[in-house]
Amino acid sequence: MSILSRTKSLENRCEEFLDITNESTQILLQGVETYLSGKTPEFEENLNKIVLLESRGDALRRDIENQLYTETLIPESRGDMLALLENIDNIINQAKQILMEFSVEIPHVPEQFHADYIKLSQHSAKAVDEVVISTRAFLVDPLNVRHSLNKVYFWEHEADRQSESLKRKVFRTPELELSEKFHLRYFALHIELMADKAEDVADRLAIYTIKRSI
Amino acid sequence: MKVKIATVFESDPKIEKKCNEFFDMVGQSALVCLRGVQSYIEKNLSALDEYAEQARIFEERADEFRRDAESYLYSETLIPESRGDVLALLENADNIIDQIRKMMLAFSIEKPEIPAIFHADFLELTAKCVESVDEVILATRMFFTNPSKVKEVLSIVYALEKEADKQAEALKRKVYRSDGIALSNRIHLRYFTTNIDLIADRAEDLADRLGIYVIKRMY
Repeated sequence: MSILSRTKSLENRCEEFLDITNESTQILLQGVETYLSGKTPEFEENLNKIVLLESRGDALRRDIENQLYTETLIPESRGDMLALLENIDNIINQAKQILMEFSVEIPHVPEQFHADYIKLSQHSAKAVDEVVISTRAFLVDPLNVRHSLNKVYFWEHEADRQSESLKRKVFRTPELELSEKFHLRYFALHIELMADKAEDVADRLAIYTIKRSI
Repeated sequence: MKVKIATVFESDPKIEKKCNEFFDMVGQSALVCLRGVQSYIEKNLSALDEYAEQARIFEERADEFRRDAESYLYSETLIPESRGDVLALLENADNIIDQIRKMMLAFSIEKPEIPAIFHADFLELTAKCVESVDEVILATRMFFTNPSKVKEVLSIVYALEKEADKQAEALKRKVYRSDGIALSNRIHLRYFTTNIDLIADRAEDLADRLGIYVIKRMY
């Protein structure tokens, strides 16, 4: 049975929150690409969009939380819903944080690493997209999310591998200063972190599914 | 609106006293943090080390207290309807002290080189974060005595956290756009900015918890 079957307005708000999550990863991808290709105005536009999305996501999350408690909706699941929303919000925050850091720190990324950063961003975004699919599935049919959860874990693992390979490459480039290597590593780590946050959501979903199957 | 329920501690004044002592520690560690950063900026390193030591003592005492409170709440089966919430609040408040200790320790160990042009920015950022801690502790105390008044204070915490974020971002932009600073120094200054700003984030986490618990109590 759907978790939100009795509460249409709550369902709509949750759907909207998940749409924001999806949109954030798309903007993040565009942001990384525009930064690397030196298209500053387009990059700044992406940054502004993601800042607005993050702020909308925060407000929407707090609204949903209020609604869950003030209208005493789905009392048996609201603790789980709360934790789920907060963990998804962490993904949106991380996506914004990455673009903000590019904007603030303007890292020098040598061209030889561009494709690696884009690939890493794509893998991390893929992990998020899959966890959004899993969450939508969970809200409709909590017992059937295993299939999509596996994909989250797969893409998180791919992001880990890509990040490791990028960092190895960076630290084996003799013409870079140590501080530049640290800086490039920092950005790789933070893009990878978005996939880790998606994995955190997946872990929670897996537990909630087990709870519901007993 | 439905009728407000009784205060959390009505059935257990003993735990109220203990929790208040704990929140005193959080408030004091925030002040220690501000004095520590001020001392560092004034190049008074011995004072900084003393404040870092005080932060360490607060952190250890707070951990001990939190563990005691956990076993007390469960073994005495007091306020059973609220103990999960009380524990989560203590844990979130403890995270604030942990972050302050971590930040002070980092100053004491790494002694970052902060050019004079950033002194005021670091002090303002620290003051803003400390203020957010002060307000969230005020809100937490109110939660235990008069939950209906908490929401107003929480909005102040959120505003302060947002301001701290803005200041941190502005400071980092300044650091990365100032001439004559090596990349390694920029990274070092960014690290300290982020760690100070995290204190306000921890205050916001506690505010989020309080927000939910207030609603639970009101409806």
